[in-house]
Amino acid sequence: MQSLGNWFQRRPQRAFYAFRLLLYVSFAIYYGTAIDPDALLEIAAGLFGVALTDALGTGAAEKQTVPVVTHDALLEMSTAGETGAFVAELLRAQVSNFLPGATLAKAVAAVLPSVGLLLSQSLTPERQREVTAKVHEALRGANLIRRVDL
Amino acid sequence: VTRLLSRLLSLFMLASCIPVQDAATGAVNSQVGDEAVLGAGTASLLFAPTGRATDVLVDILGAQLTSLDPKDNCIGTDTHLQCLLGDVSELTVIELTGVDVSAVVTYRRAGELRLEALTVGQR
Repeated sequence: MQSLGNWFQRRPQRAFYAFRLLLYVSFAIYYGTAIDPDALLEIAAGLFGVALTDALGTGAAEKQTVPVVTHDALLEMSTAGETGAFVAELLRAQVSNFLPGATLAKAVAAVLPSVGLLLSQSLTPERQREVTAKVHEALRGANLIRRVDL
Repeated sequence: VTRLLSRLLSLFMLASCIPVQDAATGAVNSQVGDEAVLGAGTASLLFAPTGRATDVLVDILGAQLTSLDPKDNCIGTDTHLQCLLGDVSELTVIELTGVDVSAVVTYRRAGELRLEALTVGQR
């Protein structure tokens, strides 16, 4: 940290350039995610598929079942960008609690928050109900959710 | 002094960016966690938020579902119920019976746009 400080002190404009670069990167993330949420959704779905397969271990059935359910659930509802992003965000939240180590969740979490934040605000109560139900069905179908008798 | 002020200004400007704020929120939540809980009780589901939660929706799947909610917040069938709780700031009980029941709650923490999700037994 001290040497970094020295480096900036020797060339003060470097600090300015570094700050400007950070700003550009931040804006690129902010506006980039706003422009094409479906593309990001595809990336997220891909991450889910690959990383879930890695994380769930050796069972061939498990390898196929969960990524397919997750991917389908995402794509089925990706017609509206905000819904797709919301679903992806929901699944991220859910999956992070089921994976030991949660490497996948951390990877996806790095990509998705801006999308969820930007787009979930336009989600109507009706869409929230619809999407929540579909995600619930997908999780239940994949046995990723606890069941109890009341 | 000028240099210190400019550094502080830069820090504040950077911190005001939404991606930075979101990353900070995510980092804090990953360490501290959202302590809201969706639990199962005797003939009931319980939702306990931290602070005020808005747009609270509990989605319930199962068999032989029967809502006993006196406020009649829940609508649906005997295999699928949805309970619209709106704004919740304290422990809320949804009275119902059923077998093979699973539930998901989605909500926003007050002042935040992002929707959070919990399943029964998860925190």
